[in-house]
Amino acid sequence: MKNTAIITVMIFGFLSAITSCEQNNIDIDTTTPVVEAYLIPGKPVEQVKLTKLIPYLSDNGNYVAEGISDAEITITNNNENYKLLPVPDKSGENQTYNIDFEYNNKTISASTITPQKPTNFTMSQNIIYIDRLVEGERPNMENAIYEITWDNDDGSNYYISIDLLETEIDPVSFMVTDTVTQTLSTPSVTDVYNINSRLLRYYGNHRVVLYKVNEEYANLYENTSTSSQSLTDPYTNIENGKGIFTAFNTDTLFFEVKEY
Amino acid sequence: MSVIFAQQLVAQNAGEISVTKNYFGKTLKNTLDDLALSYNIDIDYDKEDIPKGIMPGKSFKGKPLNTVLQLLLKDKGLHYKIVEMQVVIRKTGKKILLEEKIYKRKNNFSLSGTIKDKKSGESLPFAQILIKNTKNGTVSNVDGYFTLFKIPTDTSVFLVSYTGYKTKRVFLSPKLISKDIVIELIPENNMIDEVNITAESEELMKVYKDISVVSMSTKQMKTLPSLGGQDLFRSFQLLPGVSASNESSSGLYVRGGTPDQNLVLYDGFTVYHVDHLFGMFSAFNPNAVKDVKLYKGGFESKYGGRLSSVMEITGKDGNEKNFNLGAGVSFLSIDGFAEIPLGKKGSFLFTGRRSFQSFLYKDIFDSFNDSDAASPEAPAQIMGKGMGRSMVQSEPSSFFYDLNAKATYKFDKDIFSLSFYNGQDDLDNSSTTNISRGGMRMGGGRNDLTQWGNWGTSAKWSRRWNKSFYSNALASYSKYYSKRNMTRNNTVYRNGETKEINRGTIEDNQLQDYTFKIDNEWKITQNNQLEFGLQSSYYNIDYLFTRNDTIEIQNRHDQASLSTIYFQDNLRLFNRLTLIPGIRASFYDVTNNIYFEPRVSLNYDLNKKIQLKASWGQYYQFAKRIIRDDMESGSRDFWTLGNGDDIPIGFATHYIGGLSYETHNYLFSAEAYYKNLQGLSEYSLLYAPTFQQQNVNYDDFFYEGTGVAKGIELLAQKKYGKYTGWVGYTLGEVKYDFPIYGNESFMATHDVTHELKFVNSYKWGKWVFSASWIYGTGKPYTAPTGAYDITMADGSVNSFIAVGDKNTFRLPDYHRLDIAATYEFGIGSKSIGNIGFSIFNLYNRTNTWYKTFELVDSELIETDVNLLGITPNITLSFKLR
Repeated sequence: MKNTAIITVMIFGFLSAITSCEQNNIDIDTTTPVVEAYLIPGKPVEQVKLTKLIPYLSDNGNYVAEGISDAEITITNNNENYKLLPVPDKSGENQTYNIDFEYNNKTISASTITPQKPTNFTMSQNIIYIDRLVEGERPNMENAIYEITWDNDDGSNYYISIDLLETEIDPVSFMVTDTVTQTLSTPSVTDVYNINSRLLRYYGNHRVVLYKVNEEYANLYENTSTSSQSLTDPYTNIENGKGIFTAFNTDTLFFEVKEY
Repeated sequence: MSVIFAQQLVAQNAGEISVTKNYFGKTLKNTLDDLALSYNIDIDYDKEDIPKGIMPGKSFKGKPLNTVLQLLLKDKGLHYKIVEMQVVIRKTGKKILLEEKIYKRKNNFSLSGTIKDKKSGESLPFAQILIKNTKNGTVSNVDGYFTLFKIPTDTSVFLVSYTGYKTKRVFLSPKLISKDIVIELIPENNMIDEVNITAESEELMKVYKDISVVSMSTKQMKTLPSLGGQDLFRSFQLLPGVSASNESSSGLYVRGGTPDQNLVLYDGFTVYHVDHLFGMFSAFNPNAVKDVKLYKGGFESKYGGRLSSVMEITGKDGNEKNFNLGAGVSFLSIDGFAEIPLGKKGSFLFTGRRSFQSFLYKDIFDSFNDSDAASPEAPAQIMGKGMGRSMVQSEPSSFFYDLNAKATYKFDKDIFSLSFYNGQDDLDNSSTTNISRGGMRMGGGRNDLTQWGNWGTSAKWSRRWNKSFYSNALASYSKYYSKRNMTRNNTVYRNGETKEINRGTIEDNQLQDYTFKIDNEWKITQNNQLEFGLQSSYYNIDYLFTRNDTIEIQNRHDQASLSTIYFQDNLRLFNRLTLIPGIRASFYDVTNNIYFEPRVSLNYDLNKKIQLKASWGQYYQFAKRIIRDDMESGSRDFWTLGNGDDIPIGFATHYIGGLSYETHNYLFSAEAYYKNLQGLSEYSLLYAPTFQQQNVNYDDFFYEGTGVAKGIELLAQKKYGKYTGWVGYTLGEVKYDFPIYGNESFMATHDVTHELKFVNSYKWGKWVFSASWIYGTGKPYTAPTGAYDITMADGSVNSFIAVGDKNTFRLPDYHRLDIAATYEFGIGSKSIGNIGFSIFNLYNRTNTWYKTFELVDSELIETDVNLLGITPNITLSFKLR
C-alpha cells in the first residue's frame, strides 16, 4: 500500500494549497447615505431626508435608521444654487436639477429633469350620482364607469391620487364603516384611469391629481427580490448613495359624488 | 474459492468430470442444463426428445459425468456420446455423427459475439470482455456486440463482466468458437441463487479504465436510499465530482458545470430537461433503462455540444424470450411495464409512470410553492381598502408522468430499433378571487400554471458489416417545452364593453432538435480502433416572454444547423499505453464559422494495479440554457441558441489528470481537473428599467462571463462482497467573472468547497440494507449590507435592501443521512417481488435552501427557507419474471 500513501500525501498537499483562503466577513455599510427628495413645480421642497442604512445584523434588535444632520446640501439648476425655499413663477418643465453634498469624503450627487405638465386631463363626468344603500334594502346592481383620460404620446409613467375633500364623512353604504379618504394608483404607462361607481365610498367633493413621474421614480415601485438566490442592489439614481432624487409635474381636476 | 474450483474442472474429456452436486425434484432438462452450466460443457440435445416431468431424486456426488449421464438417460430411450467437452444426446436409433462435432483447433484467432442478459435476451452495452491471464480485452459496443483479436488458444478463458450482473467465466472450446458466440450473463438479484458456480460478483458502481468514466447498475440502484423510489440522476449524485447538495435539482452539476452543460443522450436523442416535480426527481423511469454511463469530463470526440459532461442512457429493448409484466408503487408514483417478444428476433417494451397526490407529493409541492416569492403583481387599481370581503380559492393540482416505448428487431447482421419517450410535469396553483360588497360581486383570477416536458424519438439501424467494421445510423427528434403563466385577470369596462386584461408574465419556450448521425467503428487491429462519424442537427428554438399582455420582453425565433464530423483513434501502444487522440469539427451556420475541438486522453498501466490517466480537450456549446433571474418566481431558465453576438458560443478547455489503484476487491482513485470556461451567458432584468419604456431593447440584458472550475476527487470503493460501498470526497471551486456584477470574480452559486459522501450497502440473505451520508460546504449567497425605507411622494412607504458583493456569504453546511432496506422475494417459481423501506434525512437535519430578507419596522429580518426534513417512503414492486 506504499503507493496509496504517496497518493494521499500528494492529494492533501494539494488540498491545503487550494483551501487556504476563504472569508466570511460581514460587511456593515456605514458610509452610504440614503437620499429622499422630491421636486414639484410651484411647490416648496418640503424636505431632503438623509439617513444611514439600517445595518444587516440578524441578531440585532430594533434598529432605527440614523439620520444624517451634518451634510451641506445644494440643489442647482442652470448653475444657480438654490436654498431649500419655494421658488414661485419658475418654469417647471424640462429643467435639470442637481443635488450634491459631501459625506464621508465622497460626493453624493443626483440629477433629475422636471417632466412636462400633463395635457388634456379630463374626466367623463364631473357629477356622479349614487344610490344610498340602507340596511335591509336591495342594492343597486348597476355599475357605471367614469373615465379619466389624458395624453400620453411619449409613453410616460403616470399615477393618480384621489382625495375626498370633505371634513364630514358621509358614506354611500351602511357597509362602509372606516374612513379611507385617499385612493392611489401605482405609476404605469397609461392614458386612462377608470373609476367604478361601485368602488366610490363617500358623498362629496373629490380632487384628482395626476402625477407625471420620471422613470427613476417609477422604478421604485417594481417588486424587488428578497431571496438570497437573486438579491441585487435596488434601483437608485443617487451617485455614491441610495434613495431617490426626482421631480414630478401634476394637473388637478375635481368631481362630486351626489345622492340620487 | 468457487472460481479456482471451477477452473480446475477444465478437463480434456467431459466424461471424466467429477460431479459434485445432487439433483432432487428436477426435470431431466433442468438437470442437463445445470450440468452444462456448472461444468462448462456443451450438451447438445433436441428438446423434443427429452421427457418432461420431475425425475426421482438421485445422489450423484463424486460420480464421473459419464456415469451420471448413464443414470440419467437410463430407460428414457436416449443414448449419448462424449467428444472432448461436448456431449451429444440423441434418440435411441438415431445415429450420432461424430464428425459433425469435431472442430478444427485454432490458435491466435479472432472472435466476435454478443453479450446478453440470460433472462430477457437483452443485449448488454459496454460490457467488459477480458482474456484471462492476458491484457487482451475489449468492451462491447452499444448493441452488445464485440470483436476480440489475437485470442491465443481455443481453450482460453474469457472473463465477462457488466455492472449489476455476475461476472462470468466463459471457457472457450473448438465448438464454441466455430461461430459467433453469445455470452449470457445472469442479472444479480438478492435471492439466494440455485446455481452460483461461475458467478463472481456484481457491482453497483463501476469506474472505467477510461478517464472520468463511471457507470451504475440500474438493477442495483434500487437498493440505495431514495426519496420517492429509485432515481437515476440522484444515484449518480452520490459519486465524487457530481454535486449532491442540490436537493432542488436532479440535474447533474458535474465538476463545477451546470446541468445544461451536461449532455443527456437517451437512445441517441438529446434530452434537454431532466427534472420532475421542481427537480426533486429525474424524468427517467428506471424500468426503461438498461445502461447509464457518465463521462465526467475529458469526453471523447464522439460526443459534443456540451461544455462539461455526458450522460449516455441506453434504453432497454425488452425481453425477447418471454412475455414479461411488472408494476410498482411508492408514496409518490405508480409505474408499470410490459415486455413483449416480437417473433423470435424482436422485442417490444412499454413503461409508464405517473405521480399521484400523496402526503409525500404534497410535502414537496408545498415546500416549493411556499417559497415562491410574492404574488405576481398587485392589481393596479386599488380603490381603497377595507371595502368588502375578498375570498381567495386555490386548489392546486399537479402531476407528472413519463412514458417509454421501444421496439427492437435483430437480424444476423442488422439491428433496427425505434425508441420513444415522453414526460411531462403539470403544476397548477391558480386561484380565483371573489370580491363581494353589498351583495355585488366582482370576479377575477390568478393564474399560476407551469408545464414542462420532453418528447423524444429515435430510429436506429446498426449493421455489422464484418468482424471489424460496425456502423450505426440514427435519426432522432427531440422536443422540449416549458410554459409558465403567472398572471392576474382583470376585467376592465370601457365604453360599455368588457375587456379582459392580463397582468403578469407569460413565458413560453420551445426547442426542437432534428438530428441525423452515423457512427462507425473500425477495428483495424486489436490495438487500433478507429471511430469516425457525421452528425447533423437542425435546431428550432422559440422563446416568448411577455409582460402585461403588451410588452414583449423576449420574442426569439432562432434556427440553426450544426454539421459535425469527428475522428478518434483508440491506440494501444507498448502493451501499457492507451492513447485516444481525436478531433471534432463543426460548422455552425449562425456564425458561419467552423469550430475545431481537438482532444486527447491517455491511460498508462504502471503495473497491474496502478494506472495513470490524463486528458485534455476543447469543447463548444451552441444550444444554451440561459438562467434568467426573476424576482417573482425565483430563477427561471430558457433554452436558446448562441449567436456569437449577445449570446456567445460557450467554450471550455479541460485538463484532467488522475491515477487509480485497483485490486480485486478494492479501488482507490484520484483525479484532479481544471476547466476554463468562456462564453457563459445570463439574462437578467434586474438591471433593466422595469417600467415600460418605448425605447428599451430587451436584448441588451444578456450578460457574458467567464469562469474557472477546478478540483480534486478521491474515491475509495469496496467492490465486492456482502458489504460494498464507497467513500467519495471532492474538493472543488467554481469562480465566475461577469463584468455586470463588478470587476472582481465571484463564487458561482453552485460552488461547493468540500463534499464528502459515504455510500454503504450490506447484503444479508434476501435483505439489502443501505445508508448514504452526504456532507457539503454551504453554497454561496449574496447578503444585504443594509436596508432603507423611502416614503414615496404619495405617502406610502417602500422598503429596499442594499446589497453587498455577489456570493460572498455561505449558507450553513449541508448534510443528510438516508437509509433503506430492501427485501426481495420469489413469488411462485419465476416471479419476483420487492419491498423497500427508505427514510430520507434520517436525523431531520434542517438544511437551508436560501434566505429571504425583509425590512419590517426598521428591522432587517432574515428568514431561512429550508429543504426537506425527515421523509419516509415505501416502495413495492412486482415482476412476472
